[in-house]
Amino acid sequence: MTAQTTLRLCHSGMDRRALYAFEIFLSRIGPDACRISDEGVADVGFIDVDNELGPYLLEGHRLLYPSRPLIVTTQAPGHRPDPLTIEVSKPIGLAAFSAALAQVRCLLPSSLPDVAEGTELSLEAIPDEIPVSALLQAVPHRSSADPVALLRQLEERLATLYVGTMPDADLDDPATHTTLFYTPENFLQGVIARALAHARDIGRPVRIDDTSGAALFLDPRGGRAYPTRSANAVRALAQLPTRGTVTMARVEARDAALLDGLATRPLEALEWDVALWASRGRLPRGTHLDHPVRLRCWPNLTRLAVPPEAMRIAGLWSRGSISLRDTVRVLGVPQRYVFAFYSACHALGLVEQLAIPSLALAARLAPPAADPARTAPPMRGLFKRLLGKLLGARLGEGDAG
Amino acid sequence: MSHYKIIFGGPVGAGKTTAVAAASDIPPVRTDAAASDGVRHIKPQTTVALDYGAMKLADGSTIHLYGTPGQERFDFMWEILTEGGIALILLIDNSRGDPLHELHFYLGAFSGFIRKTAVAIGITHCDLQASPRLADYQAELDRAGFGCVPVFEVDARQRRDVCLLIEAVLSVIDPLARA
Repeated sequence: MTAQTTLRLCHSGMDRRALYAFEIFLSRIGPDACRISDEGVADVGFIDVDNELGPYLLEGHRLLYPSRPLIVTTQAPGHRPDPLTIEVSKPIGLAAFSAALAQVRCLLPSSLPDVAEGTELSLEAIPDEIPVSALLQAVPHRSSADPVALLRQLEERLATLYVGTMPDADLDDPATHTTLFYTPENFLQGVIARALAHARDIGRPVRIDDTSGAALFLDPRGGRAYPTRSANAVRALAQLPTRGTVTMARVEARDAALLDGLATRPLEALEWDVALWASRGRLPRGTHLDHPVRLRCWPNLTRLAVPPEAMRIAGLWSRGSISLRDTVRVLGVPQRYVFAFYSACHALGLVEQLAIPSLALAARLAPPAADPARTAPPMRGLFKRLLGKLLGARLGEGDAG
Repeated sequence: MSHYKIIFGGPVGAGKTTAVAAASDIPPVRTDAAASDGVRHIKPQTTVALDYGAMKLADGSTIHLYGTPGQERFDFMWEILTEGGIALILLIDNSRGDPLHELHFYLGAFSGFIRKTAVAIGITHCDLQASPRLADYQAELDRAGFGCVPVFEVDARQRRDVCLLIEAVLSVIDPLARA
């Protein structure tokens, strides 16, 4: 991206009507100054922080895209949270917005070193957790926007952390299969699996080291993991193939000083997260798209990260065996949601694939091609409303739905 | 006006009253009385008829939450309360007695209702007693012929935990429904 090209701008929390008005506004700045784009490829984000859930959107965007410039509009400027965030006072004028875009151009990679003066946005500086409930409680009032739609949007955005952004592929095209699968053994996920097997063999905890030293201590007997790094750092380690840079060793007496004072977390939750991070919406190599999946046991979703649509996927699988391909089709969700959830369940040994294809469940549950409202179960409308409310509770918001 | 109900069942002390209160948007209605039998060793007050709470939806409709009395001598209430219910949330206390036996007993007691609807199981007090594990409960469910059922560790005081149980049981009933 250079100063001469059109800026790609994504927005968060704008409804269709507001977006239409905003696009007209942008067109008045100049035909090539800026265009609306998808979040994944944008150069700059735009958020109305006075909007419902605005602070949450801001925090979430910064978590997902720590190095992306943001333009925020507010009636009460003066709270610029970081050097990459540019405030524009309301009402937004053409000159002020043009100036903000010019600032964005200066912040983009070709001149990013200038921005870094004084403040360095490192991985460790990104918050590990978004204080959803606190942020939502800080929002003083509700707008007329559909809160459930906003919450779904938020859930999908946050889910990027766990399921990546891989677009759906043509499952019938063998050429795309190279992007659908990953090899867990080549990732931290595989190292942890081997380390846990080794720890059980020798009856003592193990440590996992990367090039910077001890990253994790694992105690399968106590069911606890002791990360020495932040969740962001572990995530970064888990997302890329280890390429021989990660090793394991048994815990020795000299490690006691390192272990002292470390926060712990359930081992199962670490394995779950690491599998999601490695998968990023892909399947473990060797998985069949058309063999039925059998859910042996539900994941403990009150104590594990809940990937998008996990409940519906598990609900479907608990009704009977159905293939991954049919799961995607029947639920109408992105492939990466199903594949990431399967990968995490597989890592914990909660699913298996059967050898014999079964079409019965898919046929029984397939959404009707025409007039779904007429054939939907009588309580689906009620469930839809209730699920909206429950989604709010899951994300820390009490009154949605 | 339809009367949509979600039922919370399970043994004394498992957290039914607490869970109903956690999920409810209104102050819960309780029918507690001083415990007069073995229950007094578990807690001084116990539910004798029902607990009641309600979730208010945006369109003005209400989901009624009913907690059943845990004591078997009030089991006549179980059938009354489950009549017309949408789903069952079964809470089991992991820290007391024989939790797997309790699960088996309540699955049997509510089997007719479960067969017509669905059940999700919340295991409480896992912080006090880690065993049995969730896999042990699933094995018991398999033995009892209920197949794969959502079984979560829950803190009945936490609205999020209780709502996740409800979300899970709805997903079993109709996985195509979404918010």
